[in-house]
Amino acid sequence: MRIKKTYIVLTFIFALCASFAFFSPGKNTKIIVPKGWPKPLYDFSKNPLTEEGFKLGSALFYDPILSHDNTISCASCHLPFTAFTHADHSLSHGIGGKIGTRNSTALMNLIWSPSFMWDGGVNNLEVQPINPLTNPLEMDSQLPELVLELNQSPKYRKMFYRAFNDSVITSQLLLKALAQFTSQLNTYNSKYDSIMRHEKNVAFTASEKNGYALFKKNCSSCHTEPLFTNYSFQNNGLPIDTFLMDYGRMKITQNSKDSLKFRVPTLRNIEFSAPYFHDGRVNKLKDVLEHYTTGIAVGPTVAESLKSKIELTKQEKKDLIAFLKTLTDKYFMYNSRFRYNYSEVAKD
Amino acid sequence: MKNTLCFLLLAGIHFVQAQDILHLKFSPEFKNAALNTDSLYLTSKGDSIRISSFRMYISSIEVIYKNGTTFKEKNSYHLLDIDDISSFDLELPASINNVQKIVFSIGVDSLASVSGALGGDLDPGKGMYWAWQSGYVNLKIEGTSPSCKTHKSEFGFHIGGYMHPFYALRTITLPVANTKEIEINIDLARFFENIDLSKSNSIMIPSKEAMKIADSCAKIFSVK
Ligand code: HEC
Ligand code: HEC
Repeated sequence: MRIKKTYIVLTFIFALCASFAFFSPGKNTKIIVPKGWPKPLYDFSKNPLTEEGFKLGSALFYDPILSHDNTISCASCHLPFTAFTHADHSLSHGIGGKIGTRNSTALMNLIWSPSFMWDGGVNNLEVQPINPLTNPLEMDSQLPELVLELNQSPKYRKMFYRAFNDSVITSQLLLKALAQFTSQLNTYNSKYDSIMRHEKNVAFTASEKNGYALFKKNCSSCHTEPLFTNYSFQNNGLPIDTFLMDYGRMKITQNSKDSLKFRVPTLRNIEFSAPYFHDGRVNKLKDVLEHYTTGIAVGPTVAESLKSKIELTKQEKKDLIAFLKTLTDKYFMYNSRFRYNYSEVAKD
Repeated sequence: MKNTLCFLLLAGIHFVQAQDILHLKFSPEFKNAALNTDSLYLTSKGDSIRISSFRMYISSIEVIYKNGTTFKEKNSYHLLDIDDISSFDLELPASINNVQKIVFSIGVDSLASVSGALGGDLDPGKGMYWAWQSGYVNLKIEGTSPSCKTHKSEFGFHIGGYMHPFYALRTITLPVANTKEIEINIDLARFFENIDLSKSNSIMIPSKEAMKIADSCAKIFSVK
């Protein structure tokens, strides 16, 4: 009986401690889910968002300390001005100028994504950065060494303490911190969104409107609204690059049915995320349309919907591109919260 | 400070509840010799080998008692690593009387495999995590053999995969006679029984071949 009583009292005290530990990292940050959008898939309960966590994640994202020779940060390949992709490089460059094998993906609306990378090989936003951090072509660091280095930095020890109430940095906390940042790179304020929300004083031009109709007819089976992807794996008819020999999803499943399939990318902010496709083989949206109208290589795994030719007149192509540009979200692109020195400027 | 306090309180609770400790001791061997990273071993296929690295996850440990009750270890993930022999000795807060069977898995289940960044033995920095295709390596054996016509005569078996049809987790049930300390042999000679190192010496991805090896991994355990 006595034991039981002690147990209850101790549990109570423990619960009190625990709740303190939980609440002390400052005010929580809210994630906005626009009306009509699906529920985010990222599990925030295991990484509750806080302003301190976001600042830490942002500082890490922009800090070359994460790479082996301290020259490359996440932002080197995922620039905020280009929808967090690597501008002007078809294949991302890494340590010592080494060239990777894929075009970096734009980082946005990641919390809705069921898988990551062009081949969907990564299953959780938190573990995605292990790739660039440990890939010898990218940042070439080993997690334990990196964690050691971070633990030697008074600045980061302080920031981790503020974010997670723990100044001993582990790879788990490092990855959670990066997710505090990447999970907030969300875009839903484009012209298209305003129109869908029936906001005042905003409407499609005639050209955009026609483009939208063409889009719904030819593209939205894969680039499905509102995220502009259905996250499936498809072969959209790109002929294989015989140098890179990238078979996409098949590498993950070992199944020949998945040969040349890649995850359907979002088209939000597409105007800014050139070059396009998994290997960055084309630079302009008009070249993308050229591919869909005349370039489809009809192999055994190519998507049904692309087997019959898509016909678009010159004007229709212009209209379609005009529509795609309505997916640009200036609030997202120019949000100072996502910028390099946010954690400095926002010092308390 | 707050954390230390909580820890002490927790430890206190633990003490009040004072329970038995069941020792579960794994002994890595090759035939009947203790396994280490210096010795030369001969496989039944006739390959002479040196083992430079042997690591595996033991998870979801359950102790089944003669009266039908079961002890299930919470958060049961243990990385056993030949470079840290103490990692082969596990302690379970379970009763030591009338144990009938012990059940455990080699590897990491699919739930943990999709749960993002984890800590402790599941820390992805432990060298048992595939970055480009998320998931844990359940078992890793690396070494050298003159039979391998590879760079530096190296072989490497990284067995894992959490998605159908390449689900590499295997569950093992062993009857137990004596209690208090349960000693389980891991005989790597049995791992190499069906492997011809001149032909098969590198598995680095979840695949059909990896599944075959996962099946044979289930046979390396026996109770002393
Ligand atoms: C050397 C260039 C490079 C660096 C540095 C880099 N990335 Fe990437 N990132 C890429 C490439 C390339 C891809 C696409 C990879 C693929 O699909 O194979 C990618 C994909 C991603 C994705 C997946 C996006 C999606 O929609 O699937 C995330 C998230 C990401 N990176 C975050 C990070 C973080 C966080 C860092 C810093 C720790 C980082 N990246 C550093 C090149 C880089
Ligand atoms: C059958 C599904 C499917 C259809 C239909 C489809 N796409 Fe795609 N789209 C994809 C896939 C898959 C990719 C990625 C291909 C790759 O890089 O290997 C892609 C890539 C793109 C990209 C490049 C995105 C980037 O970030 O690099 C653009 C732009 C694009 N599609 C526009 C369109 C337009 C416009 C249409 C309609 C004319 C369309 N798509 C129809 C599946 C489809």
